[in-house]
Amino acid sequence: MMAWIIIWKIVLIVGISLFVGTAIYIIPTGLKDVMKFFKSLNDPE
Amino acid sequence: MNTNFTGIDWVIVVGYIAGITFLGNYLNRYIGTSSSTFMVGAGKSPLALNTASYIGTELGLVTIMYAAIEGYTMGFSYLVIPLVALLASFIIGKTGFAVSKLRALKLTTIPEFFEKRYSKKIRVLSAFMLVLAGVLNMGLFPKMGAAFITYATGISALSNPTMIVNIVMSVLIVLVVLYTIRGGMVAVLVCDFIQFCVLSVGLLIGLGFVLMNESSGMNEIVNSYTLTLGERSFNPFSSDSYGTAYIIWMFIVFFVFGFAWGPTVARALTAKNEAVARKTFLLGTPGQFIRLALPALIAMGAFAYFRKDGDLAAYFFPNGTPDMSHAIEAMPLFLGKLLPVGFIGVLTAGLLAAFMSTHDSYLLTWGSVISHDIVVPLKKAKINGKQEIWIARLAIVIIGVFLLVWGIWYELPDSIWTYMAITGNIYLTGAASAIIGGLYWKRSSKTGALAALLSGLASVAGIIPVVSEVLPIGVLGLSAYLFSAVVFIVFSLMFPDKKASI
Repeated sequence: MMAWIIIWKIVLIVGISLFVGTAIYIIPTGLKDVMKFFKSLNDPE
Repeated sequence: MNTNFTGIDWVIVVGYIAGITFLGNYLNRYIGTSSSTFMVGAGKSPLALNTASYIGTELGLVTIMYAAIEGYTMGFSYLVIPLVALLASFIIGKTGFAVSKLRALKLTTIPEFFEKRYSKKIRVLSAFMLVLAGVLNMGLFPKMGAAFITYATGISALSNPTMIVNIVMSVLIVLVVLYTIRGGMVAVLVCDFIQFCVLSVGLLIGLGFVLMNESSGMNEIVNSYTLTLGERSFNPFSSDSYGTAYIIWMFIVFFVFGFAWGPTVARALTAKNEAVARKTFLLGTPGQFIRLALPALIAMGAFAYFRKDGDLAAYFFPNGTPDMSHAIEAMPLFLGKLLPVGFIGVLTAGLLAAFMSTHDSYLLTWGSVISHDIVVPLKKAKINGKQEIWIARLAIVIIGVFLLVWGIWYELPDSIWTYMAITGNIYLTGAASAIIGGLYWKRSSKTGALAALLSGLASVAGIIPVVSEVLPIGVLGLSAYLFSAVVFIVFSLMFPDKKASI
């Protein structure tokens, strides 16, 4: 059981860290993307 | 039971929901007369926006509630489910399996693929089954949302909580229908992005409050599960936990979801090119883990906290053993009691936005499929883009009415997970074979696809009590996928097409 506890703690630390990294990238970049997206919708093909 | 939820929190919630609704309506200006813009944002969504929407769509209140219930009752073993979801999304994102090819075909909806590869009849049948599975699946969303509001806000202490909650959920559904029919996929993408920002920050801070509290910290959680449930709450392969068959089935479900389930594969179709479609799944991989793991971890904190709290221990742990029938109340009640005034309002607003952002994607997908893949192919007269959008809008309103009647005012059965798994499987089992075969196997045939889709109906056997008592749900789920694959291969070989369509 001890091995499982260690595994789950590592899984949680890695999973949460990866998500924090992703969110730090997505939030500011996504904001710029929203503007780009609106601009592309207004552009005729 | 009373919580820290006050008038200030209600003001935050109402203000946030009103803002989102206003924004969704405002974005109607970008729709014009193009059905492609309404249904898939003209296929121009950049990577970060598309990924936020991919995670936002999957991060619904129903998922949060379901994950919390599973985490509370199964303990750490449940974390194997977020782990297989992560693995499935990573494989799709790394290889571009199916999603890159589907994006390259410039589809508006997934059933459109069935006509390009097989025939118009298969397209209409797959669309019908997708909508049937999807709308039935959605039927329990409002009930789960209502459960969250009831326990997080302390409404349960009032005289007629059910009526108040039903009215709140009805108003939310009406608002989400309104902005979805107005702003289409443009509104969905932008509102999903805002929801992603609020919820990812809110859930992480909420988790911080939980883990920093000495009664619900990590050591306390580990001790509580060790003392009450023992080995099975840590080892998911244990025979009295999930077991191997269930875990494999879950991996297949998450993998197939990525390229066959309407609202999910829609994020491949909204992406601005094949590379962005693939990268959306890769960048969204941690989000797939977090959406399922974080609510569960908060619920596990509730388990530890309630075990040592006098009055609550008597309710949640009568005679010192956990009463799992209260699992649905644990996470929202715990958040309502633990988080300070103001912050609980922000988090609840975020979670209700999660409720809305899943509904908007689902409503838009099913409305688009009804219009684009059932009405348009069956109608002999030519339908222009504007008419197609209006048919989709009408379909969205009808589904919204169905949700109000079926999902709120009608009492659903208690076996929530069985209900979700079976309704999803009706379409997914057959579609998985037909899509993979259609993309990667030259000998796939129309008859094979037809037989595979119809074989998905065999999944209904899972809700027959006699069958589900004889076979574990994991074995049943796996058998359904295997059965459809065998049917697809056998019928494709027995009845080959004269010429391939793609």
